[in-house]
Amino acid sequence: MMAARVMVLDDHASLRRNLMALLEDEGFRVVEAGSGEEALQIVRATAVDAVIVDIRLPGMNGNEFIEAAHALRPALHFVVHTGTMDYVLPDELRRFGLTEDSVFLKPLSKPGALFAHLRSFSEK
Amino acid sequence: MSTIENPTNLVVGKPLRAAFPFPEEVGSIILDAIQRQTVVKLPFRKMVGDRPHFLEVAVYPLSPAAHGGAVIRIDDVTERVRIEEVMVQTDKMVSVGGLAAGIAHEINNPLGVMVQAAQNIERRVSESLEANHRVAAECGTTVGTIRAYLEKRNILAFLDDIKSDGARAARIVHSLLEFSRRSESKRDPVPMEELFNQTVELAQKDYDLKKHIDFRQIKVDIKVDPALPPVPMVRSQIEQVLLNLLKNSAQALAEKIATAASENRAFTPQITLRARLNAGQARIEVQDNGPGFSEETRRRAFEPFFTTKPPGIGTGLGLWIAYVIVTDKHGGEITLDSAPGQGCRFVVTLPMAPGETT
Repeated sequence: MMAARVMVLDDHASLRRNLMALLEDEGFRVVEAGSGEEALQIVRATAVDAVIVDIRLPGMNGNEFIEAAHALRPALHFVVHTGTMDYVLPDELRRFGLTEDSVFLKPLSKPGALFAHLRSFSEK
Repeated sequence: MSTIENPTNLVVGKPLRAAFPFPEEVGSIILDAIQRQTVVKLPFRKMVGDRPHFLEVAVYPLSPAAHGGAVIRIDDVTERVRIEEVMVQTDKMVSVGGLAAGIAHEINNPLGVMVQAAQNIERRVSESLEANHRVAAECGTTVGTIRAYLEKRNILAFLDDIKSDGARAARIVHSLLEFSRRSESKRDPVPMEELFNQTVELAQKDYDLKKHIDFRQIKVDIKVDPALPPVPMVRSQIEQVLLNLLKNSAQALAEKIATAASENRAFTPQITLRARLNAGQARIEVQDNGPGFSEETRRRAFEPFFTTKPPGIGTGLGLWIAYVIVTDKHGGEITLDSAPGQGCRFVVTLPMAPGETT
């Protein structure tokens, strides 16, 4: 089976680079986007299995991106990666299958849980 | 009044200095006021027994045409000064905390990236990743050679330093963020005996604490007055307060255990938890027989980032968090009695009236 292709959506470039290196070394194929708008273009143009989504972004925020991307590709999976400890998953997003388990706080203290979560998508 | 040790019959007819021992500089200001015929008011500090009192002296010189001299009034304003100090202190500590939490929020992400980057470097120079061997070969070398260089130049140790000091900074940032996050504010009545037992259990399991002391070697006594009804509180917050106080005591006891062992003295580390009703409020005490605090440490103990422990142990935030939870979030009071060699005792007072936390 082909390794899952994961997009890292974050406006923090060094975070993106380091998270991508970690995912690559775990065998994932990775793409990156620095804004929700850019990420939507990539979703339109290429096959992506899952997106790791930062919430606080310039322009459209992470929640809005997930809604828009879900409308484009209902099969796409999402993981929220946020520095906001108070983040509450909006009901809208729960309807797309996101749960508390889909929310990872920065800094990522247990990357293993993220990998397992991403791999669970390709088994579905 | 306790400030003046001498009853009136002992002071009449005595020289001023004998009747009331003013500090040197205050005495000369009084004499000067009388000579210049001006009214003077002057605050000063005087030790009464072992406690500092704040006094205010007012000098009203009498006309030399009459008998001369002066009326001197001395007020003990200790209580007023103390209340003002507590108010300023509470305000200061709460706002400093807000500022620190704001900074913590901004530091959290960059710090996370730094630690992550160090881990990435470590992984990409390790033997365990297949891709490393492939790329090293492309560059005409081997992972083994690269590692040999990194080891000889101590570079792997530097990486470890970034990781371990980064983790320490992350712990501090995390406790500030954890504390400032929006939290439960409803108060429920909690039986103190149950809360004490549960917190002691938490302390026994606390990982950070385990590295310094085995909590089970401490003799813990729990004394709850049966007349004390369940105390209204945000349970998770007061549990945090008690845990922080227990950790503080346990770390102090660890020091004393080490000192006693090096001097071949017997020492039984002990913590006593008490709760009772006092003047309509819940009075909760955490007392240890550790080394105690110096006056300077006692005064500063609740300040954020104040710590007497060596770097790496504790964050300097535990007692401050306890302070803010008790005073700002519960409208209570927390004080600390201690003297070197005397152990230390924290007293938390919580109102028994149910209410919302702020």
